[in-house]
Amino acid sequence: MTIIVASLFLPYTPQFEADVTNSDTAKLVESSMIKVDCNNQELSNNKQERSSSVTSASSHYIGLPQEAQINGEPLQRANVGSPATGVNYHNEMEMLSSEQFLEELTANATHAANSGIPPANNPVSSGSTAQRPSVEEFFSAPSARVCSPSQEASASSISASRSSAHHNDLSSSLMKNPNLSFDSHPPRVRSSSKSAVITPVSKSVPDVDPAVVDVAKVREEFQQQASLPSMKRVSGSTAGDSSIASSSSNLRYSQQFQDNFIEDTDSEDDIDSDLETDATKKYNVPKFGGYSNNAKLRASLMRNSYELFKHLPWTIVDSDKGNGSLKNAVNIAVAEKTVKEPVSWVGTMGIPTDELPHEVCHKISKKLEQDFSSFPVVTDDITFKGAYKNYAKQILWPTLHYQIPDNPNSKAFEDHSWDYYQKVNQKFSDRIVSVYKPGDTIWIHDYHLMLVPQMVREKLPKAKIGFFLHVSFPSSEVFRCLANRERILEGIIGANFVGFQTKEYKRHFLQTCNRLLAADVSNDEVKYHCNIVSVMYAPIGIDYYHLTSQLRNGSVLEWRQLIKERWRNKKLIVCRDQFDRIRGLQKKMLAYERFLIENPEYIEKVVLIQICIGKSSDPEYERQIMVVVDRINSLSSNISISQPVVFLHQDLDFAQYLALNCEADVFLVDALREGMNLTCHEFIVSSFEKNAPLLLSEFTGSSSVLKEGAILINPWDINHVAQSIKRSLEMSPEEKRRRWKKLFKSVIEHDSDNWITKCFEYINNAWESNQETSTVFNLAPEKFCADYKASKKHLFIFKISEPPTSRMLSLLSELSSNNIVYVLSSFTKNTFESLYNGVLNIGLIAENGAYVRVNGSWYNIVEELDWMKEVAKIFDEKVERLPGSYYKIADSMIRFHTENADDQDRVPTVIGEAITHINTLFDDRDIHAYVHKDIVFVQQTGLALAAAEFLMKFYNSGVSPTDNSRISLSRTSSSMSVGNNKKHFQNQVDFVCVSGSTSPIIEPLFKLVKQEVEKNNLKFGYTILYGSSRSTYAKEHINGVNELFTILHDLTAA
Amino acid sequence: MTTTAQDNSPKKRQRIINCVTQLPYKIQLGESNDDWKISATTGNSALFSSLEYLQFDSTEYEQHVVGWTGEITRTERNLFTREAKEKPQDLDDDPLYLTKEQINGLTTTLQDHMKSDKEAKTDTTQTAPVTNNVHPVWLLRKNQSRWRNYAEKVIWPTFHYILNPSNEGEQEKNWWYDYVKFNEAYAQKIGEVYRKGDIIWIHDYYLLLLPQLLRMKFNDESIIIGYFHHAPWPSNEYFRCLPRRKQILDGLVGANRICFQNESFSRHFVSSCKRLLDATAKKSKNSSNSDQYQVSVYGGDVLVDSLPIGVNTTQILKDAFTKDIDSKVLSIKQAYQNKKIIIGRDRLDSVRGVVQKLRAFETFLAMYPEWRDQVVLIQVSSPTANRNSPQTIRLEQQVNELVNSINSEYGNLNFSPVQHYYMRIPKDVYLSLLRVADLCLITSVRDGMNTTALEYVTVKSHMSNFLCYGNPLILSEFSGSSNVLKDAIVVNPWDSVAVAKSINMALKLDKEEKSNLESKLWKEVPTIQDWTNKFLSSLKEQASSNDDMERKMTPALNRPVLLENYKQAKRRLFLFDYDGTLTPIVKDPAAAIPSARLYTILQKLCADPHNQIWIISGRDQKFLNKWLGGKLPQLGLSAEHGCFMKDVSCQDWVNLTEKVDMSWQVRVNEVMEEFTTRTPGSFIERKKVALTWHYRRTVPELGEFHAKELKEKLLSFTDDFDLEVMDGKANIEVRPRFVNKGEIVKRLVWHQHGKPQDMLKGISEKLPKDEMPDFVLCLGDDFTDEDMFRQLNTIETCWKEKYPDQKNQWGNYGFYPVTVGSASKKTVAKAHLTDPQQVLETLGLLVGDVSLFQSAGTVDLDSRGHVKNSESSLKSKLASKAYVMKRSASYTGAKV
Repeated sequence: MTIIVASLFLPYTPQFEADVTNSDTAKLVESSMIKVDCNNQELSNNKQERSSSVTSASSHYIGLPQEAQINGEPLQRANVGSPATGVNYHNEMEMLSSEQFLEELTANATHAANSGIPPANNPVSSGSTAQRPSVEEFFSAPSARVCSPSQEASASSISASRSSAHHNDLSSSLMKNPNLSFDSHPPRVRSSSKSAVITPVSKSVPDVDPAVVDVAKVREEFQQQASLPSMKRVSGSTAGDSSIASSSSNLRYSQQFQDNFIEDTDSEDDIDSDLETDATKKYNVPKFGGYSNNAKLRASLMRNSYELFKHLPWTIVDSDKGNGSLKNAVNIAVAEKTVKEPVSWVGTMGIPTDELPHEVCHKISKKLEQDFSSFPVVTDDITFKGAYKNYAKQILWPTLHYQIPDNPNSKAFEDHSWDYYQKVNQKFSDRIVSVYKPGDTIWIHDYHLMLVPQMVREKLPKAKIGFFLHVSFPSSEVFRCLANRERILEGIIGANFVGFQTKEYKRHFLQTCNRLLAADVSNDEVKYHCNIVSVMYAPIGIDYYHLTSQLRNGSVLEWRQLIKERWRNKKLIVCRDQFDRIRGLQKKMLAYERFLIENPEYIEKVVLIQICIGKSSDPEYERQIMVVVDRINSLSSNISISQPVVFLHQDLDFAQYLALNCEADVFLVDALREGMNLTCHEFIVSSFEKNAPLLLSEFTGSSSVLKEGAILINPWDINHVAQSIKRSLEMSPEEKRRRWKKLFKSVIEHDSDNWITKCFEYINNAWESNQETSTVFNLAPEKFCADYKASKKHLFIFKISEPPTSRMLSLLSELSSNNIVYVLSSFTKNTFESLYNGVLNIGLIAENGAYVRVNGSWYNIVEELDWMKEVAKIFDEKVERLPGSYYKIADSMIRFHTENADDQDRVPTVIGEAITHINTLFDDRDIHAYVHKDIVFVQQTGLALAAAEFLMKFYNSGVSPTDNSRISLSRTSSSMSVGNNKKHFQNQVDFVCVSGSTSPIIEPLFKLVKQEVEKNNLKFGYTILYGSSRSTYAKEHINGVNELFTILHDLTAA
Repeated sequence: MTTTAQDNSPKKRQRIINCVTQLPYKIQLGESNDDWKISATTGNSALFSSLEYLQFDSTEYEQHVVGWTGEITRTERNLFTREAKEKPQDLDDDPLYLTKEQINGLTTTLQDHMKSDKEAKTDTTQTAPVTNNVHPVWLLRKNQSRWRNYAEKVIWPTFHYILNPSNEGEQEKNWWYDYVKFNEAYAQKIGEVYRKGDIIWIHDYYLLLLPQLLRMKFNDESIIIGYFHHAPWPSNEYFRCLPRRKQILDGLVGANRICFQNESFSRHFVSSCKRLLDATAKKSKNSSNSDQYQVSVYGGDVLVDSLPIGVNTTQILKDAFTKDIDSKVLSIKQAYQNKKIIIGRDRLDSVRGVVQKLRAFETFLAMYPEWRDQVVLIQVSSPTANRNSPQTIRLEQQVNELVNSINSEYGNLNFSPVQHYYMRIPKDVYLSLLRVADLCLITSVRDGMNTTALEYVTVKSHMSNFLCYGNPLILSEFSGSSNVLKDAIVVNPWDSVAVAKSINMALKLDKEEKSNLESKLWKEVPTIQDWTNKFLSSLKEQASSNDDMERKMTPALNRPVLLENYKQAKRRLFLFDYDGTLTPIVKDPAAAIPSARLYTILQKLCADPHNQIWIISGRDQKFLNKWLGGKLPQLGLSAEHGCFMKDVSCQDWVNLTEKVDMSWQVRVNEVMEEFTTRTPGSFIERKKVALTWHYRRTVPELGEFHAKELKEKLLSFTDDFDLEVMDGKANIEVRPRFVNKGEIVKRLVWHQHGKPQDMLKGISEKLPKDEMPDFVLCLGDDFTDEDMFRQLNTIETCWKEKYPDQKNQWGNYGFYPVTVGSASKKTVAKAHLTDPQQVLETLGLLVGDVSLFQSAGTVDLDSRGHVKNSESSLKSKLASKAYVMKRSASYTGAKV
């Protein structure tokens, strides 16, 4: 009874560590350094750097090593570097990062001020450049102040590092395009570090024309070059440096769409992951960075890399990729025994694998399986990238977020990337199937794996499968832009249960299934191809307790103190977003600008800190934003006193981030679309002291959860956002408190435990109810079709209560061109004719069988009508007693409607009374009242049956069809109940299909057909019931009328 | 400029006022402003042919066309200055100072043009000609494209599913003001043309605000307004991205009938109304078996349905099969001997799918090598109006690159598989291309109705030489036409493999299959005559059935008039409800505290000594004191629906209920207690006089059910105590009958303005009128506020009798009872505002914080789009005069 969780990335990843003092590896590392930097630094600079690069392992925040520390079970990394200097080093690290934090701010400030002037390498041309030293001084001042006595010991190293940082900063801003300057982090000097973590780098997917490409060939070419050593240091790590980082590893990535962090592993992405770059840019196939011109080095590296990974030690660590919220939720649930069953994971390892020798890969897999119950899916890198980057990220993701890509960069709707996507999904499915044991639950996550449910279902028809989509699901008008839309939908509804973040997404999904697949849908079910899939929503959440414990962490408190001092007397607006167009960064800045312009008194009082995570791959967008940021900052009369916007183009350390959250006066989320937004959940928990208000875009999934306490904004309405910023800054403490309490309540209500339990409950319920219904015979379309072909004269009777859709009409006319087709309904003759007047040969049975139209003329089946007056009298009385109800008299029946009755509570009683009243009075006259869908029908009984018998008689005796060749198999002494025209028996109807949702009208027909088949009067009899029913004479069952027509479509097409 | 149409024709014809974005003429001015050239424009062929049909062929209707003149350009002066003249900014810089005589002269020429058109086109046996039926809307100004900005840069992309994240707020605001003015200019012009009984027909998304505007303007008349939306209407998820979403919807629902190209557009529209305006809708089928909705808004019903537009099939067939075209077809045929010809004609903008088409064609050539060299794609892309926008330029580049890459990949020296023409082509060429085509390929990503598809099918229906009969059509499922031409080969343009397969299939069809397809398709082509007549006849039908309908739509508040009246009035009285009017309704009543903006505005209003402001709320004294009275002592307050009052600029509260017997409270309390225990989540609020049972926190169904029961129970004995049981928003309130917001209003209006109130004194109806308020703005959202409105209406009737000759210039007494909030509410108020946000905007307008063009109202504009007699209007008049003098001076100087 395992729970198999399938997500694109496993929560664990192997990590290779190279000894950087070893010369070979050093070279490799060095080469990758060059590669990283050569994008934006000049060669001379490189040389300068190179001498120190061995020791100055780079320190990307993003890449900080994740020490596994789930619920107090620290997973020690095997290769621990110099622990001797532990304590001292620790302090130093903290200091350094604080230094760095402020350094970042200043660096950005100056760049921002600069960015408006295109040739940034002219130091004298702009005032702000000239001013820089003083600015620097100013910003470094507070940090020097913080440099309290206890840390004096390390002061020298700080100043050393500061000076180097300054140097770097200056050079970078002088040499580089200011927009790219965020990449430059001042290197940390760390002489003690000896080992570095390295990861193989994959080749990028060739960007070739989709229509003409010979994929196999390109691939071959690639593999020929595959021995190229390509790797990049993810981060320099030592044992001591990460007490802050490690404590936060669990929640750091609880934000929703973290998984695009795979970009970290391959440097080519800087260019090709871009969605919106200039259309004219054309990228050539392989790009191997700057060292491609160093042939000698390359040759030597080529030899080495394969060897390298063969011998390098590796360990399994927590992965920082993938869906953090899912991982957290599951891990916490397992640790706290909310989920009692063992959990195993299926996913990719999170590192490119082409570079790894086979046996190493195998060993890693084994290790993961045995020690971490994680079952890795290994694909070659091109396939993975094709599926993940090209399809999932560039086509699916934007479309799911209402961005219809319109630009050739994302051509590829029909691209081979779809093939890759299928392949990866198939791999996942195979892996799941291989792991699966009967009784297990399979839980598949997110848009990367939308085809997996159906693929698994094909192999394991009885499996319990759940699917959860973490991102938003768009309205059907958008979803239908996908070339493979049907396949994707069918893929998803292979699951028993499909989950979404909000009600809205769920509704969109149901509508989309209805429109694109012509599936029958109800409020929370999709019925398609004999399956019933339950569709629910369950917003994901965070774990409050876990986060609170982190908030009490010492470093968070220290940071808070720092922040308080740094921005004394200022109001802080904090934002943290992924850097892409969908997060509405530009709109946010524009709104903030508007706010400051309209309320200039705030310019010196407010600071907006924007943290961007993920790297920028969209220079144009970045430029647009920086223009606005620049404009805003120039509003301030003196930027050294107040800088209204601090734009950080990188993530902060989690402790810093939490501290900032705690100190924030407003938290602003302005996303244009977002599935959920857990950063605001984190903020709410963090703001337990200040109770700061939350400004939340109404286009995020979170707004459905937090709508009570948050101030909802429409990011498109800049004016309104600006007003809301003002409002939230001026909010009274009471209101803040009140709102925060509500927010907090909903965060707790929608926490991760709740999410997990709810999802499993839904999955189980869906599966169980499916078990029940699968005992009813489902119609087997193949047999239906075969029988149809094996017979000659077909009679179809459909009971269709609703007005027909155009699809129905066209199918019916198709069907009726070769067959005898009747539609049965309670409509009157006139309505009925007007509804079906487009269908030429169709027969009609009006008023539940009272009248039959054969070849265009009506026949009366009904005989007695004199009861109607009496019944009408009875209803007059009822109408009087139940205001708002009314009745209608048709030719042969009376209908009593109560849907408009004023007092709905009395409706059942009145209906009950009416029925008993009429039935006792008229029973002996075969007049019967019954209720169907809240309407009381009164009519002579057995009309439908009589009509059917009449039809059978008519067609078995009547005019012979145009071509009759072979004698049908069914032959009995007497034909249908009444008829006795023996001579025409060879023209008998030999195939009857009656269908409808259950009602007293249709049941006798089912029974009739059944009897006729039993009596051998009929070769094939199909009685198809749709909708649900407990007791019926029908033999076959089908989920809904749309599905029926889909089968009929196949029938006529065949 | 009123019309002087002669109704001496034998049959009186129904007058139609047809409002189009732009007259079907292009006006070019010569150098002197006195010579001009008028020529017919191209584009929007369906609509223009409908105009033509109404003008020349219809005997039933008399048409009047109201439309903007479009950008007026200058003909180049002479060859030498030509270079300079063609710079694009020249058009923007031209201030276009026309004198009144020149404008009149142009108008006459335009009208003559319409007549001469007629003479050329029809025989004289038709009914008597209608003269002077073209009514140009003059919006002369520098930078004439300004009038298009909002429609084309904000509305158009959103309606075509393009979200445009980077337009800056300030710019958007100015565009919006221009858009509002554009609509107001139309309203003004219609005001000059309109006669009772006319049908007003409005076209397309440039005029979304016009219906409501007209409703404001002709408040008392049973005006019939139809609106046809030619473009797609997007799913609500897109529509709600518009910052002015509510205003736009509110503007549109002023129409009696709103019609779309197909059912899914109307469905999207209705769902937007439901979500954003909180309207209700009933769905049914109309006579042509398509969905039709009855949307109830502001007390009236709007009919929403769909009617696909058509083309003038007879005219096309007549034009397409002439000798001249025959020869052209032959020459094309010869030029591409033995090749299949695929035709595409689109406007080159991002939704017509030219890129998708080219990519599909590329895929087709790659997938089916046997067709290479056998097929040519002739793609004609006509430029859009804003050719210089970065999007268009980017698109041009994309298209060019694709064309080049296809041609270099699959072409050779003497043959290129894609022939791309980026230009407007003359009609005869277009028709000959349609005729010669073996296949027409339409891959638009979004459009309302693609007339090329209809025209193609029309042309193919006709037998002719060259085996061109019945050639197939490939049509995008995202085009509105795919709902009409159901039997075309429908594709998903995003799926280029599928499109490629369809091209292959279509080219391989044999003769019989083709003619089979065509015969089905041909039946499905709607004609423009049909479309026009159907639309108008159903409007007429509605008009006649409307007469016996008592329900009148409450128009939006006409804010310019309000402002004008406010300025002229000397004794202004403001009566505001609080919750839901000044602040949005929130779940927790304690959270509804006034915003800073509200304070600022109230403060400014209070500062004017002519103003008396009263907040009349159901809340208790404590709350009102704390949040309003405490901060703004100039406010008059009334708590608990009028039981307690605090006079303007006074500290003390007066209890009006002191003299009343309050024993009923015990009894009512008992009953309510009983229901509270039965209904979890409900609670009793004990105000000083009233008792309120709230159930907003309960399970809705249960709450409502018990509320009904409670009400019945209470009603059984409350009459004895002279109590009133009121349904509020999720609450039931019991209070003495005399406590009622209406009573307060009565007291405040029948009162010497500006004098302290004696609350315990009765009302004297003998005051002279000039001591009572001459401006009363009464705002409320609740059921209880209806009492206020009703009372104001009563007073108005009374005054009408008493002072029939003391009305103000707008024919009333300055009473403005205005309801705020959801469209589904029934009200006796005279006007509506959509939400508290708009309330603040309106009050902001009065104190001068907000632009007049923030939302639409009837404003008199001059021919340059300035408010008449405003400073800027006068300025431009002066500038115009100066310009004319200068010009004539230089002109004569040149002559000399």
